[in-house]
Amino acid sequence: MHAPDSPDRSDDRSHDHLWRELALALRGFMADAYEPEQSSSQAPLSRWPASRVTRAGFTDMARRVLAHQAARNPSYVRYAGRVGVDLGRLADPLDAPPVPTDAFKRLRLTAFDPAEAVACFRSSGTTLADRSQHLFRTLEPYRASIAPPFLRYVLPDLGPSPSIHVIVLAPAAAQVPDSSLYFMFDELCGRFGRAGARTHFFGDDLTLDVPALCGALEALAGQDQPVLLLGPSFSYVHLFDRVPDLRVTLPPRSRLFETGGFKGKSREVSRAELHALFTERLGIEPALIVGEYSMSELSSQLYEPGLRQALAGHADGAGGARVYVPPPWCAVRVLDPASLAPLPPGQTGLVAFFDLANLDSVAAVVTGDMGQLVPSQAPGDAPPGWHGLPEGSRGLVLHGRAAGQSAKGCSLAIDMLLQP
Amino acid sequence: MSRVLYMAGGPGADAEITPERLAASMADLDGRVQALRALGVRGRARVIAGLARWWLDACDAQPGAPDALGAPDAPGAPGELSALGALGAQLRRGCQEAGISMEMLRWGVRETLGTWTEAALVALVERELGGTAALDHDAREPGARTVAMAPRLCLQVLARTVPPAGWQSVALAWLLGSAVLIRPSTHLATLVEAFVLSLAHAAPELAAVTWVACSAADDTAWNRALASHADALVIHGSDDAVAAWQAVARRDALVVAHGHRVSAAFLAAAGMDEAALSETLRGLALDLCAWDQTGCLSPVTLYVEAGGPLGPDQVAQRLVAEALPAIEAELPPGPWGADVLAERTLFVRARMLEASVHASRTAHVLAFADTAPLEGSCLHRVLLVRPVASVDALVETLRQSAPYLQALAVGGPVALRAGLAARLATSGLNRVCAPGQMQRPPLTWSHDGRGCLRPLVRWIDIE
Repeated sequence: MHAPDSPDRSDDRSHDHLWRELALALRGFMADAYEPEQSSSQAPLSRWPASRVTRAGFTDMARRVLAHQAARNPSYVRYAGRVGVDLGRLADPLDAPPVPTDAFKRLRLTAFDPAEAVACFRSSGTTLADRSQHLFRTLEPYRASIAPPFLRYVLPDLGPSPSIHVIVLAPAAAQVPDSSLYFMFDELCGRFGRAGARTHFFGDDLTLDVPALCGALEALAGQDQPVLLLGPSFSYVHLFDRVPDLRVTLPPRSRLFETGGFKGKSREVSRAELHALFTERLGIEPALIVGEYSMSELSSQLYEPGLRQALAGHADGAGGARVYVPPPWCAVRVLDPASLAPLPPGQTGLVAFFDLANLDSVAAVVTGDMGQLVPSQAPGDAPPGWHGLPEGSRGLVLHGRAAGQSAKGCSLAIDMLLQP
Repeated sequence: MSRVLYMAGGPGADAEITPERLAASMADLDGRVQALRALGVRGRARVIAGLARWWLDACDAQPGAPDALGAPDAPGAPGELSALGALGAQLRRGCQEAGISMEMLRWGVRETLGTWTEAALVALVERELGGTAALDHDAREPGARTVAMAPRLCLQVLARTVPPAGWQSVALAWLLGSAVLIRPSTHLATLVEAFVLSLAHAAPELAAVTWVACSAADDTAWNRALASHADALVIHGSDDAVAAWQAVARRDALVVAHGHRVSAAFLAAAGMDEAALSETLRGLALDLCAWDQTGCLSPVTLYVEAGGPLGPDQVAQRLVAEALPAIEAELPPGPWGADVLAERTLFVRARMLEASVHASRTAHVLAFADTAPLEGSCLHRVLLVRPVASVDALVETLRQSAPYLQALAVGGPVALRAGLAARLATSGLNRVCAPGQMQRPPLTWSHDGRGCLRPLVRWIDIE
């Protein structure tokens, strides 16, 4: 892992002050990004959460974040220069050259001294060299990004301050401190979970306490309050494989959050199969299953809006495709694979983000995932206002990884074989 | 993808092939192999050389003529098309599927098939097997002797290889007197078909002993059925493909696997004047562009020894400005799909945080300030250039790639090559050459360090 250039320390106190101001402004921006949700007793659930952010407002904040990163992340400035971009002269901060997420495997991309990091989230992978490292000077922007979209896409019918039984099919953050997902689950439990109720069932040796988990599910099935299940997709499959005769019917309006695929796992299960298992084994209605898309190189999460739309009385409209919507502080674009120029809705390319919550690393990133922005085709099928989507788009559809399958000669990308 | 089996000059592709029908089509295999072996080594070499001349003639025909390789289809009724004219359309489609340009294929055919002369093929047998007599034996003859037993049927799995290298693998099996069953990957299927169908015109003796079977990669049952007829398998592919085929091979089958490999280049600090340096850079440009860098002999990294006239950045600049343009004009890149472009873009961009990037019309050369072992690459004309302190440091760096090292091009004194060969042999290195020669191995190249005929032969001492 290469060490970045050290930022100029000569006026650290001034920079620290500016940084605190910016961090505070960003936190306020994110806290005010959505209109407050009304409880169901006051008004029917709207099809989409209402955003208070305008494109101009996003641009202003993005410009500030970018200026901060240009001032404090010399690696990024040098990178931009090599791409031929002067970060100080961009008309639109969304035109800032995105950094491939793979770069997080090679460098510590920070707008601060890495020694001051309070957390480091790593991507999955079999060796350290194979894993991205995303360092945080503060976890406040990350914390601020978690609850608002989750509330609106996973718990929209339970009022502005819901309290729900939560079952997590993952270790606690303290057990795997470099997992951004497990940190997020802990935050959600703290924010929305029933006080005193057990949520986690992994021992310190990271083995699942299957009897305890099954017992908890069976106990909850006998109650009438909805339950929230949180877990990576493969964790559910693992549970179902371990307990093939597990059959519980969780209470009505129980819902399930799943994320990630099966990369590197011993077997794959199609989405249709997996959702059928959720219904068959846990009694979760198909409409109450929510997919989430994020990664350790981001601080924000995208959600499928299907659950909210179903509860609001609208058809999914996705035609079976998994369409993800970002929060208003995270712009998503799809880029041409060769030039990285933005593509219009409907064209397939590399998925890229400008994530304001990546305050202390790099906001502009491009992933190795291929996808397309789904064009809006009818009134109301796209979230109104600014939701991080280009005009005319209602969400992001993913088409799988771009990299790693292309070489056809006898010399192949053999990263794993060449690892020391 | 459905299962298909065909032969050149046969009754047509059987798209409903079953293991039973496969066995039926192989029923007269012994007779066919006997006829092939009756030609003797020299006879088979003559036929293979004739096939090569047929292809070289096609390459050398005037562009635009109906018999030129890759020429547009000639007007008129199908019957008026020459065999080559029809083949041209198939080759264009095959190149599209394989992701290479017609110019690249033409170049590769000239370079590879140009070595298939009768004399060279016979000399190869003599070099590897000690003479043609070892193969041209009659087992019934009395007297003590050592005989070389070639496979009866060699299954050639061409999962990942540059096309002419795959064709050569097939040709070497013929040379030994083996029938061949070719199992190409999807992206190579059309080029293999073109090669095999040419046998009907140029080498009917070889058409009689050659089958092609196509199917989905994960059709294990079919793969097992194919392998059940083969007493030898030659597998060109990933380590996963090798493992998959080893699992279905007969217990008594010889398996020759050509899996993952990686190659590099080295520019020594001393021993070259400006003319030699320019020549070396042109050679490296060719090594980079040949097969779009996807061959196991393609360099992924160029190491530049410290203390020379050029550092990595200057080498990169000169490659882009002086050496690459002419090569790029001669060897345009293949059509690259979105997945290749995406991988390439992400790879280059991720390294722009550490390296200076120099771009030509089709290539990217990334100049680093620090050294590092060979790393996985996106290929497709992206070359990493790194400094290295000395030859000793180069050896230590390349040893970290053991046992996957394949070839090393050395720009500098010829005397360096022997020393590097000795020190890196145990890391897998089996070819040291001059820049410009990496993707032009001689017919005698010991692919993966094992020889190209020896691994397929069983030796029996009859006392």
